[in-house]
Amino acid sequence: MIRTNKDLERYIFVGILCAQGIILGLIEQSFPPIFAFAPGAKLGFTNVITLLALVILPFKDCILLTFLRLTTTALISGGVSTFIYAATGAFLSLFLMKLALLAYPRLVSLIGVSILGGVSHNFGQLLVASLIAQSKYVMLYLPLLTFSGIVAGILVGFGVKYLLPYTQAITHVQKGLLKNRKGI
Amino acid sequence: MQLLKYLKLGDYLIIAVVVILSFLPFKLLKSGQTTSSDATIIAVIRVNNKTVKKINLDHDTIWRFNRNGEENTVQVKNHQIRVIEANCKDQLCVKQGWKDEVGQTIVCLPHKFLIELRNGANAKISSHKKFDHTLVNP
Repeated sequence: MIRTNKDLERYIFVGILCAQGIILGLIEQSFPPIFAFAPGAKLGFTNVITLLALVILPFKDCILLTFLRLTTTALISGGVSTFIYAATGAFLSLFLMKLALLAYPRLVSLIGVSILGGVSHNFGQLLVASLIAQSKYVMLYLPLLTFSGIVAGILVGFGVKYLLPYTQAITHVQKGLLKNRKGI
Repeated sequence: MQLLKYLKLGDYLIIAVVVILSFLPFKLLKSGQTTSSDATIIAVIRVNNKTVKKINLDHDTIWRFNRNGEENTVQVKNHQIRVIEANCKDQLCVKQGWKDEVGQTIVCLPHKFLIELRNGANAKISSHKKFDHTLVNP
């Protein structure tokens, strides 16, 4: 009985984070582009949610969260092609951020992790763009995207840093989650 | 600086690796080409992975490319090229602006429209007969 409650709490938390990610993504789309020098670069608000989830949730729930968020966003605002771009970037950054989080908090801070996430997200999208256009010269656009990814990563890192203490408000949920995480 | 206080050793490592890796395509793609400043550059227009037109950048022209209603208008002026107008959703191709160096690209992903600048020393200027493209002004 207690076990099912824990699972339910976890899934509700995934659902809440997923909804927040979708809303943030939609808000971001309505913004004017911030990096005027690099068309196509984004601030990556949804990265806040992904990174937050990676810190407090077990990894398999993060994969579920990212998949749900991508599918719903594609249904709301995009088509199949936007889904492919977004999925490649999102999953590449998800796995790389998980790798970097293994060294957190001893060697890296959240800011470094989110920089890696932002840059690899851009890299994944550019990789798909260059595959679809079948031109390797598209990759020459990478340095601009890397720079904007670093700036966005610093902002996102600070965002998560200030958000993280507020998730302690649901301490009993988090304690259960951490207990679960040790088992994985 | 408040920012520097938060950063740890690993963060600097991540930034350094990421910056170095991002310049790797430059080294790989540019090392094989010898670019001299007076060489003629041609623009290769590709739509849906098919080369439809090669334009010499020596003459000022405006071309309109149309595939099933998906239009991109390309302007050549002063040995530079840009997309001046497009009816795509995100307008990123227009925002990419003027390009004039070998290896640079302009991409319009919604239309699968691509402009590649290549060294045109021994290239033939050609066009795809079946593709709908028109010269707007001579």
